[in-house]
Amino acid sequence: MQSPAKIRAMQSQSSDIADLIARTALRDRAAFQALYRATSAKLFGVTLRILRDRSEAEEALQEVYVKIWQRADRYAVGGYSPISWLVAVARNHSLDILRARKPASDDIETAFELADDAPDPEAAALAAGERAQIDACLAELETDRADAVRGAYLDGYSYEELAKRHGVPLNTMRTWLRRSLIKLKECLTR
Amino acid sequence: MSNPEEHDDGLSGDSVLVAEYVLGLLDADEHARMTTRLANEPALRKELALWQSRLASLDTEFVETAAPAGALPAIEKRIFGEPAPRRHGLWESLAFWRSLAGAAAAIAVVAVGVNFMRPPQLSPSELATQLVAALQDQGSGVSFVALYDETSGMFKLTALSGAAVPDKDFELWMIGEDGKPVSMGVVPMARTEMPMPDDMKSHFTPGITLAVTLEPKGGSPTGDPTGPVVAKGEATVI
Repeated sequence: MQSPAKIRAMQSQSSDIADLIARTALRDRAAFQALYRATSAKLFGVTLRILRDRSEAEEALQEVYVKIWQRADRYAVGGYSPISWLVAVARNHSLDILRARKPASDDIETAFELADDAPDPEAAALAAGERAQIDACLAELETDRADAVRGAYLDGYSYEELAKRHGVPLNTMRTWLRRSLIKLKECLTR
Repeated sequence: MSNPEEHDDGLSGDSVLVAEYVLGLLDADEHARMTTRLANEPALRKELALWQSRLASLDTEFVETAAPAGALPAIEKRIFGEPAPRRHGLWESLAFWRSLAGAAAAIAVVAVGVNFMRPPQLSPSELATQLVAALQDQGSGVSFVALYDETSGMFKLTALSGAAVPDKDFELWMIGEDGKPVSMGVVPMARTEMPMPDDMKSHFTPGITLAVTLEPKGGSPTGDPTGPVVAKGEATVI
């Protein structure tokens, strides 16, 4: 359980980051620097974990912040916490590099869509509860299937990598994971 | 789709597709198709919001790792390029105005000393002061220097560094002893000269602070500063 003081601290940190993003959108260089100082360790953690190579992760981190500077105006305060939005930008960018996809220019718009339909304005305060919920829901899955979902989200593993890691044929992995996602959604929306 | 039976149950099929999209499991073509569908189908965007926000709960597992020291300068170089070449000349030199503001106290002391040795026959115009304020960059890259000549009543403001911001204006504020900012109007990123408004003359004294904020086009809508302070400095006698 999170104490009320801790939740308030999370909310105020969250609104600080939202404020820095808003000022960055106004081309406020000092705010951008402050945003970098407040969030770069987290985003470097994202690019490093997914890309698994320090120099590639640093290059990706630089590209991510250039993107944030250019497109900060696409962030709007919604139900989605500002740090999650930044993590989504870093994660999507890292996945683009990993898949050698042509970096999609609409990454940020895609991340931005999260805000516009998210129904719950207090999502940041609920983050702790949601964390407990997804843990509980993942725990309802068989261990290796839950690990596959986490591996896809946190490590950016493709179906091929997941199949190799779990020692199952590719199609089996697809079926596993899709069934796990259906179960997961049932549990998350219960 | 290699397993059509997994996707033939309407909404939950779409929901799984969106989850795979968020996880990054779709191949390039499927990914692109989903991006297009998301733009056109609000119901899918609701699924996207659900999956993204729930999966984002896992973000706590990304371990914070200090970024390399050179990363921020490299990012700023990518965004802002090389520092803009400085215009030259004494009037444009912030260092000159800074040192002048610092030296002003010493000059005043010397002047007082000299005055004591002279018969006190100064005319009012000789007592008239000039005030200077170096409005220094608050991390924004924007700086100004302001000069007020009490004799002529003219106020001069010159931008030393920084660039205009699209759809925004810079607004100048005078902050007196009561700490309340009074607007002196929107200022361009160039040289401005204007007569000091009469109702401000008596307030424009040594020790007041001048600050420039970034405001919506046309200036603050409320009459109080609403945007970040980009430059500020204190007025000193010269």
